[in-house]
Amino acid sequence: MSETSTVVADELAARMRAGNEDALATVFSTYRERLRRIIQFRMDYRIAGRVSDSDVLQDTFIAAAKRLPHFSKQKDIPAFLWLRLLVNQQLIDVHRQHLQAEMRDVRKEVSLQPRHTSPYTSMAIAVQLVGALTAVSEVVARAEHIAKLESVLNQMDDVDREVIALRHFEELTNLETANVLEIQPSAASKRYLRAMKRLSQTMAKIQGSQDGEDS
Amino acid sequence: MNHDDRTHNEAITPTYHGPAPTKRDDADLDQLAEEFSKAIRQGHSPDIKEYASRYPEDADQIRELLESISLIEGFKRANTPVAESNVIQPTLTQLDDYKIIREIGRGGMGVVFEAIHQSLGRRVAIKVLANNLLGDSKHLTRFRREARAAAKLRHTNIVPVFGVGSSGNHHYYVMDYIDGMSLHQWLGFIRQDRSPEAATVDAFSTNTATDTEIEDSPMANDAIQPNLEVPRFQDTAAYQRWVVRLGISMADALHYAHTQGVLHRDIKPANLLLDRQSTLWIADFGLAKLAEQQAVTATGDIVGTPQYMPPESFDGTYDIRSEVYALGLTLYELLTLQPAIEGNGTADIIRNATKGISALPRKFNPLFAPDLETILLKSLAHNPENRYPSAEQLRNDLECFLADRPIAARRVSTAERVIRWSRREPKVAALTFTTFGLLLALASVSAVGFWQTKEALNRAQVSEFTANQSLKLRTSALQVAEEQRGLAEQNLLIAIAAFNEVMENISRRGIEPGAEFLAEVTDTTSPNVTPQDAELLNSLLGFFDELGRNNSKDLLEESAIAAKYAGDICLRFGDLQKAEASFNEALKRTVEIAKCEPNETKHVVTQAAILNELAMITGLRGKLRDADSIFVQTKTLLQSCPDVMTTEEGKFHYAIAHRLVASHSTRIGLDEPDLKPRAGRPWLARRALNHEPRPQLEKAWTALKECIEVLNDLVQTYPEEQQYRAELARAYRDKAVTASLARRRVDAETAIQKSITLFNDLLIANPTLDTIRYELALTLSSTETFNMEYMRRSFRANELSLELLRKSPDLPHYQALHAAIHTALAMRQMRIGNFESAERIWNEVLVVYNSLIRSSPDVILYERRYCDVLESLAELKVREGDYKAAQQYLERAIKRLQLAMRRSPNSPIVRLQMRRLTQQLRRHAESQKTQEPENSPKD
Repeated sequence: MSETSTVVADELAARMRAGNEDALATVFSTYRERLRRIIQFRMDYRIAGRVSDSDVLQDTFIAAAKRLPHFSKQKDIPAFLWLRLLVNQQLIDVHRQHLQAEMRDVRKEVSLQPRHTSPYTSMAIAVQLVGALTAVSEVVARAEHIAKLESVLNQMDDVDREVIALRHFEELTNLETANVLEIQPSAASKRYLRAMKRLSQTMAKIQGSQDGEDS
Repeated sequence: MNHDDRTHNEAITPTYHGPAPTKRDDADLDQLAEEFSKAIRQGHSPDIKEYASRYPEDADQIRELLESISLIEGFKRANTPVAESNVIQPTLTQLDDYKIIREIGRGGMGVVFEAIHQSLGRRVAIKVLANNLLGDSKHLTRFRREARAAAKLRHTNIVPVFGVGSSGNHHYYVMDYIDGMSLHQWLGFIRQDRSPEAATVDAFSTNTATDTEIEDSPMANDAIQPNLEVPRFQDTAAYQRWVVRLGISMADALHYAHTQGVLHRDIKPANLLLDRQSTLWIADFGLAKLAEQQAVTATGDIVGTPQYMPPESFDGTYDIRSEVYALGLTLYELLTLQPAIEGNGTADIIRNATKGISALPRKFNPLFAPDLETILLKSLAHNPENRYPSAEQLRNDLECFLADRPIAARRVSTAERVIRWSRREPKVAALTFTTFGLLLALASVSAVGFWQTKEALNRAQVSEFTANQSLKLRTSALQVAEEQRGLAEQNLLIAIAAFNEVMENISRRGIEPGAEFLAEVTDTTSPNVTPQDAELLNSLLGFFDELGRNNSKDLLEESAIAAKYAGDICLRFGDLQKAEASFNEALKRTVEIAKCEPNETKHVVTQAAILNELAMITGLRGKLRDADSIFVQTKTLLQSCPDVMTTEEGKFHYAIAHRLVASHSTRIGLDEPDLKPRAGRPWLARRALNHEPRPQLEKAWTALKECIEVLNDLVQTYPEEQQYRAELARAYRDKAVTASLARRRVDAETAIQKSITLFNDLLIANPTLDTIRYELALTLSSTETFNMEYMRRSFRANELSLELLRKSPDLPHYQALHAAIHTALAMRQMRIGNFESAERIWNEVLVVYNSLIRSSPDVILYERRYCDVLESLAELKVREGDYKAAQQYLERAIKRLQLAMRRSPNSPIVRLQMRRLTQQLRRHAESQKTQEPENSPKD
């Protein structure tokens, strides 16, 4: 983010803290696509067919408007991360609503809390990553790759895995990531680089085997 | 993969200027990564080399990092078409001549709007395709061509396509607006709340578009009472007929499209719409192919589609039969409310999709109509060759089902199905005992109630003339009887369904040593068939008898089957007496049934099958002469019905009978406890001296020749029937045994080779069938006498028997096999001087035989083998010079034999063995006197 936009963002945030809904609307529309991506990434595929991301966005906005007074009390949290928290809260509600009938404990499978991640995160990443690798005819091979990648992601430290999710699928900056994970930015950087290194090694392996099959 | 292209094509360099080749720290690298990611997200293709050049010392590390970032970001971009299209589409109000009214759904392929075609004034649905779907002109041309083909389709169950168009950079697809919902949504509602009233109201409050990712915004103002009469799911028969009617529409529409040369390629509940008149519409013709190019990458489609993909499509094969399969999957889901293919996550779903369905529809509903299940299973055959060759034929069978006409699909026999299944799905769910007991109790109670009421009705009829009062009585009795009858019939159906399930479970789990049907002899991974199962079946007998007495022949048949299975189970657990009794019951009932239908050949075949079982059991109990007379009975029965002898089953049982008689003939004199008294002691003694008992080898030889001839013929005529091969392999094994007894070594070796080859091939084809493993081990271990390749074979036999015991440690015949193989191994150890290991093995074998004797006290063979082992141990001790221990073993053996003789006092073979042991003991006692006794074994 350039300096001017940071200034603008700070100003908007200040107005939000003052309870200005227009400011909230402006901020919200700035971040809408990023928030939408978070929703798409975190939403369980089983309810993706029943609930659209626009619904969740809309509900998030309403929730944000209602909870503006709370935002003013939380001075150290940037506006985007606050909205992100609300989005996650909405998602938890939606999952609970739609999946509770099917699963006794929603969180067992779908964790939306930023502090602890779930196997679902790794599956979501794995599907997205391997998803683009192949054509239909290679889907079977892909299933194996997904499983492999999934296992690599699962072997990763929770925070490492979450770092990748946050940085690339939620598109947070390192600072934001550090804030969300409540660790030092330098630690977040370290984690991120380490996680990426491991992931890239695995992907190189998969890629290699796939290129071999293609040729 | 094209991430390289992306990174090298255009080198738009973001903000960084001027090289600063310095040392970096993590924060610098991270900043680099952030910058790089941002550039990609903005649509640039930043140059990795340029970034790497900033910190030359870490160039490799940077390259690696940035390449994977570019990979991730690249995938992500390809994966989020919706997000891209969203940027513009919310503002869309007009597309050419179409006025956009509202968005009704969005999916991986784009957004669907409700719109008005202004010049025609009609309501349409417009699918605006995500831009990235038609990225290059080749795709666009193709999309147009496909859509044109789809637009030509005119069928009452296909959503009419009006055309395609483009406006600005939007490409769209115009179709009729269907006021209803997709079956996907419908299923969602039904599953959530199984009351269809609630479901339909809710469901119709949402208007429909055609993709999985439809939003279900409950707009109260739009809620209109549906004009849809859907039977309740719980009302199985009516509901099934309703679904079948939908299926007919789908199949008909698909068939029409196929005749027009159009494949849908993406049949799934989300693409099937139900309007308010309960008419079914197939949507999205011509779009799937388009989606295919990108679908795999679109998040929604990855997770949505594999579930409905036929197995062969994963290999890139897709034709009419694949659509039949997809239609079958949809019907399956509608009928059971369970997705036919499920999985834990995408990878798992894909894996399962390639395997095909794993649960019979009946599993979810015991009342599932068998014919309908047959139709479904044929549509869902894993191999396209086994499916309906066209949607038309599927439709025809569905119509037959609706009209209660016989369907064309042949019910795959339990045998075939079990084999196919066991190949794919070795796990077998065990039936819960209590559920069944409950059902049974329920059924018998209401059935008895029915008969009692019926009697009351009869009494009422008699007294009808006597008084006016009786008329009332009669009416009310009639009513009660009607109700009771309905209840009884329903419960009876449940009982029969449950019974069939028990049978299937048993037949899937269970095997019997001389099983005549390979199919009933499948895997025993969960050997949960217990003596209690036999008890259960026996209690069922009474139930079926009770009902069968009241004129139902079918029930008599069920009861015969139950008796037969009870026999099988008892046999498995070594209770020969009970088994024999059960088989006799089965025989009695079958004879009774045969009397009702004298012309029905199958009853004769069944009788022959049961007689063969009886012959085998009688043989196992050592009553070889009785077994022989059963053989004569079987042969006479079969030959008295020339019709039967022309059928394959008739021939098959004829062959089995011959093999059994041959096997018994070879054992006469060796294995029988009850020899006729006239044989006398002197004769026995002579035989014992010659050490050559005289089995009737000639007779066995002739019978086996006949048997093998018939079986060879069967195998050639029906090469696909594995049970014939298995039986042939058994016959060759018996032939080998006979030949070796007759000292015809070459014949023996040839026959054993054939048997091994046959069983080996069968095992390769059916790796999950433990019976074959067992039979192969048996064959391998019966080579002992020939001493050719002996070691190799006995090792293999040992491996196989260990495998079997690992899975089913409790089955007596596995244990016996294992014990026999080990006895032979120990003998070998002793011969090469490995006394310690021989002794250890024999002691283990003794434990096995002990438990076998406990579970099957009838089998005199186990008792003798036990004593044989003791005798071998005595011999071992003599070799070690430990005469005292040898003497103890012999005394133990004699004690055992005395006990055995008390049970079968007339067994000459036991007497012979006894005499031999006593003599040995005496000899040892003498040698002990002459030599110094030694208590510690030598090395």
